[in-house]
Amino acid sequence: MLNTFKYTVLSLTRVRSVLFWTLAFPIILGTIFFAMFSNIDSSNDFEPIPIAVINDSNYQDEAAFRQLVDTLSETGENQMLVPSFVKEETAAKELLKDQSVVGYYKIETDGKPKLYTAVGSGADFSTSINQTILKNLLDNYIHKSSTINTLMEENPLTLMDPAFTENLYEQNSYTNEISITANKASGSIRYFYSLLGFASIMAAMIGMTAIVRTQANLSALGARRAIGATARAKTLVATLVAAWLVSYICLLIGYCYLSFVLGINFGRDALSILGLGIASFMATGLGACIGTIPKLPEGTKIGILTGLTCLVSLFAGLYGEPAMELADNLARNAPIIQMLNPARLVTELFYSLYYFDGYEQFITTSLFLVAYGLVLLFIAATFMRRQRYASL
Amino acid sequence: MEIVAVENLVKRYKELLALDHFNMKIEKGEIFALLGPNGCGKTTAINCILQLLTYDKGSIRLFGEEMTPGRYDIKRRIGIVPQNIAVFEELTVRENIDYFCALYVKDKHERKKLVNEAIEFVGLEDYTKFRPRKLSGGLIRRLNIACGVVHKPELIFFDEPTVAVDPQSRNSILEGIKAFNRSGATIVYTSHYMEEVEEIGTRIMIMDHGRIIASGTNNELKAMIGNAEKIQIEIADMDNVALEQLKSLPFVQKVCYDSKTLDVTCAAGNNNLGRLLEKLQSLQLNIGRVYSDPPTLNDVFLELTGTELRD
Repeated sequence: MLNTFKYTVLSLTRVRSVLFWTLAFPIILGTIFFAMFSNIDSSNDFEPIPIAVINDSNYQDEAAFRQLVDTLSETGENQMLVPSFVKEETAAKELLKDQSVVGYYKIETDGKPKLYTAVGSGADFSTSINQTILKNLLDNYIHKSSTINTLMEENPLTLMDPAFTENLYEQNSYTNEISITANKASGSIRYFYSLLGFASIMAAMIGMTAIVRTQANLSALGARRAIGATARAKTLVATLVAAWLVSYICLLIGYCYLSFVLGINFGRDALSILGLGIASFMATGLGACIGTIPKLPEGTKIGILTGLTCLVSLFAGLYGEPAMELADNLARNAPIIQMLNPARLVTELFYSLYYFDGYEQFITTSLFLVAYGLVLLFIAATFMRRQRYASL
Repeated sequence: MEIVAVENLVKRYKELLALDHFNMKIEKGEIFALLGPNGCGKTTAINCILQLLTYDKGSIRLFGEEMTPGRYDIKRRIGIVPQNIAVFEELTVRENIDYFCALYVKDKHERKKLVNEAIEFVGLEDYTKFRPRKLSGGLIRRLNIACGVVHKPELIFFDEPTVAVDPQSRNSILEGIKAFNRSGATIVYTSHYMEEVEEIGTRIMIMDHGRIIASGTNNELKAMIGNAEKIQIEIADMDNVALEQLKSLPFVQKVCYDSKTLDVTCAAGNNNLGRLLEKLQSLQLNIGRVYSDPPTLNDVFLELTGTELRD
């Protein structure tokens, strides 16, 4: 039994077509996805705003404003500004004209800061937002400094009260930011979930190849092995475990490539690895089930499996936005179809790990996938356990 | 002791009767040759004996015990070299032989010894790290044989093991089979190559349409057929009168004269050649070279199975 396991693993890891479809192809597709979608997520991230600041004697006299600019320019995750200090306003205008900056701050002769931005139709959406942010920053500063100046003139003692000053500097917000998902939402992550679903179904090729080689009615090698003095059940168990292990390793390699090389965040790694084990179990069952179909040559079965993988991946949303809408519509209007779609189930498994705080969804989907795999293996077993055939 | 005893085996493929009350008994130490045209039921018979195929009727006993799919104790004593190459394309020569050995032998050290012996036996020492696709047709056949016999079985089935191999490899395979037999193994050998069967078979069974049509030793089979001897004589000129006189001889079955060559088929009997030459001299014919061929297994086979083309 151990030898059957050992040599099944060895032979499966040397079948080039199997390795291409289950290992290389998802990696290639993942790389293409990464190249296509890397800009989608970064476009949603806030980038510090480039701004010019006229560093003249007026600016040097306004210590409070200088401190504001310095604080907002400090490197780190809270950095809001990337200032370019210039001596003359003409230099600032040049930078604005070149679109090197979104605007420039200038301290006027009356000591008040002012924001200058480009006016016209040339500004794109993100520039407009950045202009608004710069304006809000300045308005807030002017409002606060005006309040403090008034208090200093009319009732300076109030500024001695720490509770009052704390309240003054506090940034009041009337909305509360909460996270409804375990991780930050990403526009492209669904493609990678679908890709994992696709890879899982492709991994069924391994189970199929392994089983065809055990069946006397499907291959000469299967017939020869069936005559051997090792019990049929031992051969089948060793073969299926070997196929599962090879599928799992292929998926793990793909996952590690996506996660560690391309930097795709799938959420919780340990549970993701467990999820891959469950997905590969289901895939082995699917492969065994297709592999045992009688009277069909192996090439035809590869064709069936490839076609099936492409079809179920469509309904799992692998092929872009329209496919995702189709998948979502099906999930809403025909949930049973999606529950029977193995690629969709694997996609859901990782989806639950990424977006859900709890484990309930993950456990439910996992159990469903395990049950799915067991049903497929049971169907396959009705063919696999046969030892004698009416014809070969 | 009967190693194989098949009685009244009937196997149908839907309407086709593949084995028609097939009987076969093989004694220990024999090289039993199963001979027949393509599609006559040789491989079907072996697959039934090995419990790969279901059958409609009959009994199969190996080593005196009833054979069933779950009799792994009996299977352990059997080796099979199938007609089609049955090895892992992705495993090396040594890995393949070790895999098949492990189907029968659990002990790792014993297996290593057996694998080395099998590699040496089939002469694949220089190819142990090769994968099958890198081997020539003859070498692959030898690998197929090594995988089938590595566990030193007592009964070995060779199902047309020399198909599509060069004469050197064929000779090597036949010598190997004889060596297995000398070491005590009982051999069941199927083929439609007459000269091979004639060379190695201690007992021969000819089957056609799922039935046994003849069985016996090489000489016993040859004695069964009517035509015993073929004589060929070069004669410069021969007229129809002389031909008619030859045809009238009691031991002559068939006469044919073409391109100065006379072909005469004689019935079984003594001194056919002497009596024929005597007659030709009496007819005052110029006799050139003379050839006399005793009957071959091919003659037996064609006479028993007919000359119509098979699949």
